[in-house]
Amino acid sequence: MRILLVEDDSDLGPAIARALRAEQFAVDHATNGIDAAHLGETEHYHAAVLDLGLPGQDGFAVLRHWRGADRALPVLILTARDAWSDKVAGFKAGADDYLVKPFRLEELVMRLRALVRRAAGHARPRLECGPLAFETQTGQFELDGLPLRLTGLEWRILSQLMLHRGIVIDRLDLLERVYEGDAEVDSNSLEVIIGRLRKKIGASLIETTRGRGYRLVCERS
Amino acid sequence: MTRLMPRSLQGRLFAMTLIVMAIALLGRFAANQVNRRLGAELSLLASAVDRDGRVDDARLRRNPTHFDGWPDWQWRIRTPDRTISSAKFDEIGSPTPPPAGGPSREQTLTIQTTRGPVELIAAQPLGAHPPSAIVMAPSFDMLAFLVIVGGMASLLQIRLGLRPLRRLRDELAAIRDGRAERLSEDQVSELLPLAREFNALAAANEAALATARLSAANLAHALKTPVATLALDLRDNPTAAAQVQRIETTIRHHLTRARMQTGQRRPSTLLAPAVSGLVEAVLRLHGNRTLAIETDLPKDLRLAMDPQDLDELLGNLLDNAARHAASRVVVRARQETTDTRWANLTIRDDGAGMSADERERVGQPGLRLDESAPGYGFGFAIVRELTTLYGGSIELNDADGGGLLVQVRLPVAHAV
Repeated sequence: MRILLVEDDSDLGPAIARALRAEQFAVDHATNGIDAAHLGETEHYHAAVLDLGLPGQDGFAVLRHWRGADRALPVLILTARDAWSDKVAGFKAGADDYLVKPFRLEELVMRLRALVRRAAGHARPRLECGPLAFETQTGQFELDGLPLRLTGLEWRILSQLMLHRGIVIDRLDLLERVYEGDAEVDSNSLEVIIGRLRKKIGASLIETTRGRGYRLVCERS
Repeated sequence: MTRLMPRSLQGRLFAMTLIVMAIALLGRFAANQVNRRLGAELSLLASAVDRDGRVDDARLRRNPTHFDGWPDWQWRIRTPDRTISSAKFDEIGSPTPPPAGGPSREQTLTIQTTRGPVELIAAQPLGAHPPSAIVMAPSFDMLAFLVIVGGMASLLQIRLGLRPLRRLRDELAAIRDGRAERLSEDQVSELLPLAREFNALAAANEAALATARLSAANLAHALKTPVATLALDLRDNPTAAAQVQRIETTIRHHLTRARMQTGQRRPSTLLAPAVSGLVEAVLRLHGNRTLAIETDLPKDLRLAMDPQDLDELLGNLLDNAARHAASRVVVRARQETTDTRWANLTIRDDGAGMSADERERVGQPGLRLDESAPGYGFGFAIVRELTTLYGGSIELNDADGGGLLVQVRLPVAHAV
């Protein structure tokens, strides 16, 4: 899952980015409103964490810019403004969730995962696909009821396939949604990771569609 | 300093009117009365002089009884034969015939007799005051009448004259109640500068309040971000994390308090749109749960509350209800029929409810924040403070069929 983090504070921003990466998220970090507006409009993110008080352009303006450009990415406002009037204004501006600083990291992560899951159209927190299960709230994968250990990239790819199980995910789209903006992406690396995943969960679960992408197959034919 | 004048403006004006009236009337009456009495005494003296210019000494001695107790008055009779006078007449000096009609304290009378003119003088030394009993007694009724009539007239005048002040007071009360923001400038010229000064003061106060709120918000941002960083760094150290949590709660509590309106102005806020905004916010904040919030609100009910304060109060209540509800929250509001100045708002959830003990404990003033029930305490403390600030009340009860029923009484804003 790839997240856009918009936070101008030079201590808090990197701290959140580190913490989110430790939870397997790919994180792009913008420190001002103008970069944030641009990134959110052009890149593919699963969700954005948006501070309100930003240099350049404030969070509300950034949010309105995205919504005006028809970007439906789920947005979680993370701000020091804790008045209910601010929360109402945030949701009216098009936010999907609102978290007040200081916050517990677990809460931020849980809310982000829930946002991503709901944006993919899933009402229940537990997704299943054959022997595979994905507990979206904890981010935990299970295979035949046993915890599955995955690296960051493996987790991101598998969760993306899981969120859209049964649907072919475009290679490029998959790349965009699992790598951070400034990552050096080797065109072969995706195949390598898919290969490793197949070893872990069984080759038949991930189907390759030539020239297009990958699909998670839940029902055996 | 001792106060000679009465405390009230009305009293002062009335007292001054009475004093001035009394001095003027008394002075004028006294002078008149002295002249009249001197004239009367002159006639009495004249009755002791016969047609031939002779003075009846015996009669003269009997006569001046009127002047008992008025030792300063003197008299003199000059006939062609002799001059008789009271003992101290010469001490007054030799009075010359007064200018006719002048404010003299002496009167002369000349009687033509067969043996020539007899001149009579009755005089009182200037500066000597006749005993008031002698002077005032005959006209006391008149004087009393004048004082009463004059007093009533001036009372009426004062009441009318002070009416703009009473109107000013009513306008100030309207500002206090939030029915107006400023004094009108349609004032009598004496009060206009006062009204302008007051309006300037009110504007300055509002600006100061806005500045204070802004610095509270700035303080929030300045403190919260470092605390958030600290919380991330310390999340593996439970003792430190608990302390950070305390700092955070304390900041939140005091900032929320700082944001509360001071009750100087009470604008009116439409309840229904405020609730609908909050319901959307609460539903999204509890987005990973299946939750229904039903509202039953009069469309045009306005509360006499600052919109931010109303948001804060209802937001906390709705959030608590949503957090504890099994699946359903109902918000209902009605204006009281018996006392239309108030509205009753109820928020009911279908959760586990609270025990009587918990209800007692929650939101009690002086309750330490870290002792308050998780999820309930903080919100309810603010809700209670806000309710009190607006003169309302809040009650927690069991809802029918379980769950918590919160009843809040809040002031209605009447159409101005």
